Amino acid sequence: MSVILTYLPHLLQGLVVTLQVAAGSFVIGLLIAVLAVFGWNFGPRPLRWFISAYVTVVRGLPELLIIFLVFYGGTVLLSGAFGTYVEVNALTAGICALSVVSGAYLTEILRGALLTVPQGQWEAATSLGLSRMTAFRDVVLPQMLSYAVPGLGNQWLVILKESALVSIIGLEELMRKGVVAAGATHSPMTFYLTVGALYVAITGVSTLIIGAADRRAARGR
Amino acid sequence: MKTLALSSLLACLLAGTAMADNLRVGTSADFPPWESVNEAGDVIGFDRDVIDEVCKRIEAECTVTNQAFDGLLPALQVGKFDMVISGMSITEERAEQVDFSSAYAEPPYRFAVAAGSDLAKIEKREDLEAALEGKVIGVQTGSTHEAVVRTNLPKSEPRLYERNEQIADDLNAGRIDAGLLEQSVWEQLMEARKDQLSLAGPLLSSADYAEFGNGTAIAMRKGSDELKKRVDDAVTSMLADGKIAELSSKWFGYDLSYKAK
Repeated sequence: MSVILTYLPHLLQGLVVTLQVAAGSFVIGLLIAVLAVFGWNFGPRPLRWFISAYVTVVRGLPELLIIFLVFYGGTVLLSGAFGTYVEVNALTAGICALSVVSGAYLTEILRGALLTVPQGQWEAATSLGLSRMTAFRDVVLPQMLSYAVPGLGNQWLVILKESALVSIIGLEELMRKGVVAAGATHSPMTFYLTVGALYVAITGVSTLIIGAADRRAARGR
Repeated sequence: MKTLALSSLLACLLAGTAMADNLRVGTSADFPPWESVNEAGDVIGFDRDVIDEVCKRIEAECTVTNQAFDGLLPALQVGKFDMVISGMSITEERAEQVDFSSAYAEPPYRFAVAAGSDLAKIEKREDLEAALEGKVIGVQTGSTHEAVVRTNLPKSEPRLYERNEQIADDLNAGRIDAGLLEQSVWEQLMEARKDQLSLAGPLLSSADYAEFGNGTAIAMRKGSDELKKRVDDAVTSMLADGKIAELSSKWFGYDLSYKAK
């Protein structure tokens, strides 16, 4: 028990990094997804091809590979451009890489949700004289998001756990802190169980919040 | 705007030259006693003391960063680190990607058997080899130990395991007669399995079996010849004046300094 208390501050620091990476990449991923869905519906054909290719390629690659590409590829590109080594902040790189990943999955979730919004909503909005852009932003988008809540919640839980992968580029998140503490104390089970409990605690709280959000989003449907 | 761009470029270049004596070192601090993180969050261990001494002797300021093992060599290659020290054995595969300093350490290996086995009483290597004829020896898949058993104990049967604790547990269960691993790994396994295992025979090194490989070294980016020369000199002098032996006794309780062949 005392070993846990000794290393608990380290684990909590790791937990903060995990939450930063997960929240950062979820929010940026969601922005990417909203833009992608918008472009999918209103953009010219080449843009639709691009979005389709992005979703297909990223969903087909292991997350670890994307993290490597963004971090090491980014470092090599920047260093090449400036002619000297450029430090890419690991937190920024981790959030960028996972944003690219979650953006692809979230795009698919939003596209699915968009199909659930009845066609009559579009027609009603345009017959009131709203432009297609305004109809999307004020009428369809809010409904699309409300239908998407369960899928978004699911993706949030996935990102929370994927954040464990960013330790490879030097971020000390919860899982890595657990491995280090397990190594230092020779008590792997103690720390893996503690780390597990912390993950379940944040996913549990998340599930409660997602449930409440879903009930709220479903009001009046 | 142009002046700003020029001056920042200049600053970058100056920082680049100043960095020559400001070295960044990567390690994966989850493998005690080689390296681990203490309660205060500092990286400690044998490798930490070795690299601190190396940096002192080459008159460089070093910052040690803890990062997962699998990311160490890629980070070294893109320039995030200047050196990597992480109990890393020299292998051909790694030597294709990075340059290694001269070896500073060579961890000893050891046979172990189930507690109470007659094999535990054998002290000499030759006697142990004879006693292991026809017996089953547990080793890790793809390790140097597998090659050692196949080449030097052809009358024994190697059995391959994914993980070292499986070897320890199968020894205890009587499924295999002996196991071959790094001494410090046995010590850790025995901590959790008191009175189940006994070490057998002497400490072994590549002087006994060449297949154990070329020792543990500091990795550097390909082409950092000037740094490599300074580090090599530091390692050689630390081996010669007994500094490595001293640090080794402090962390392992025995001497694993590299013996030139």
